[in-house]
Amino acid sequence: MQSEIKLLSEIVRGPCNDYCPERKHSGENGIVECFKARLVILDNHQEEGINYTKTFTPVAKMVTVRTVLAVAVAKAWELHQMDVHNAFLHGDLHEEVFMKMPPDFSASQPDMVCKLRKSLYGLKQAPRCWFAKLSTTLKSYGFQQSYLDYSLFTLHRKDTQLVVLVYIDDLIIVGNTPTAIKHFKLYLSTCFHMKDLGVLKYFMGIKVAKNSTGIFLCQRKYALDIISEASLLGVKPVATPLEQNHHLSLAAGQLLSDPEQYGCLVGHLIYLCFTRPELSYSVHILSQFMQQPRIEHWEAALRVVRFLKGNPRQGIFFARECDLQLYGWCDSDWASCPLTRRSVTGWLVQLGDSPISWKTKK
Amino acid sequence: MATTTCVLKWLKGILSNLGVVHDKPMTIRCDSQAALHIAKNPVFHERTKHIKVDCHFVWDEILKDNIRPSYVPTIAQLANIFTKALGEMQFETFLGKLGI
Repeated sequence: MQSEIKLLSEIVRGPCNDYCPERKHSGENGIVECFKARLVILDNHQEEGINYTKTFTPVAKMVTVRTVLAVAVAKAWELHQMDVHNAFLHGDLHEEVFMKMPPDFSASQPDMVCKLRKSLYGLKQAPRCWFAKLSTTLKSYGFQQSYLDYSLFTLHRKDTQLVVLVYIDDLIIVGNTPTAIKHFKLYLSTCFHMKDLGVLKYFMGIKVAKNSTGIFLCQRKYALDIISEASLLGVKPVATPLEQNHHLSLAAGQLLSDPEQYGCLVGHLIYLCFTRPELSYSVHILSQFMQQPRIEHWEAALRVVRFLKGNPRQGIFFARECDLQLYGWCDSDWASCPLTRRSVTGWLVQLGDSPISWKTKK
Repeated sequence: MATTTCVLKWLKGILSNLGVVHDKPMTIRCDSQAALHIAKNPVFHERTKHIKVDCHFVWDEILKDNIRPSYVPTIAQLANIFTKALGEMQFETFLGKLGI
């Protein structure tokens, strides 16, 4: 925590309750890379209108991430990744917030409080402050914010082209020339404490593997974690995620005693859909029963996990050879839900041969 | 079909932001002949009372030559995997075609 306060005083250049949870920060292979301790504000003491107003912050849509990657591969652009150290500490705070002295400092001046000038972790508006700061920084470099996805920034200058995708403090940087990327990275490092992670390999739990024909995205580790959490590492895999002609919405079995466990598992599966379009339908069905999961639903969810067991390293592939044309596929199953009589619509959009957007919707 | 059109239009915008020009009409493949006929002929259809807005939206886009619907037999319909639980055989063929 001392290092964080040191960094803070560097940022603020001036004077600067709570608790500091120590958190493990693990990397791709599950090896602990470092321990972190943070000064965290108790946000439940913040009052709306006084200590904070707006808290919304945009994050990159998954579809945008896939589209950017697919285009970058097709155009043979370079993919880089950068991470911001203590991102939320950089945001400027406009509201008036006071904080009790941190534990180590309170002894010397017991009746003083701190007025915050920069945002701290735990503040309700911290992500918003950080995003505002980052987007002004990018715009002053010449980037344009996309109106279609606010976390996508693009720069066209003569023959250089740069694209930056922001996911809170993770930046994916795509560019057609290595020098442009290098310059941009240097610029960012002068503004924030950056960590250059080099060529894009692993972000948000997704592994990016590159070869001469294209790139491959997979969430193998995430899938294995799900399987081991459900303690199904030793079971026999199944070929399909869901039984044919299931009647899950009419299930009348016993209610689960621990619905949270079900919600947790389905939540994991939803995130896994990022690289596994084939799970989309099963997850769509399973997530309808989050409120009142029954024993049949739990068994169906475990079946999806058993399906994962069959091939945990499956993912999506973006080919280098791509005509950059969009192809849509749409299908609907007429009045297939026996409870609401609503139809299920599913669509898939491919860029060339790479699947970039899909959805199942009732 | 209307939602697919929306998504296609949005993606086209994203692509143009990335500097990719997409000037050809985008293909939508659908396995329902009825839906295709309704989409192609802007005439009164007796049974399409509740989907009017969607319908007009799709017509407009077709007239602007933004999208082009085309028929695909159900066996080759990739989107099938998103609307129903399939058997093992079908499931694996679709997986292969999806490029995953």
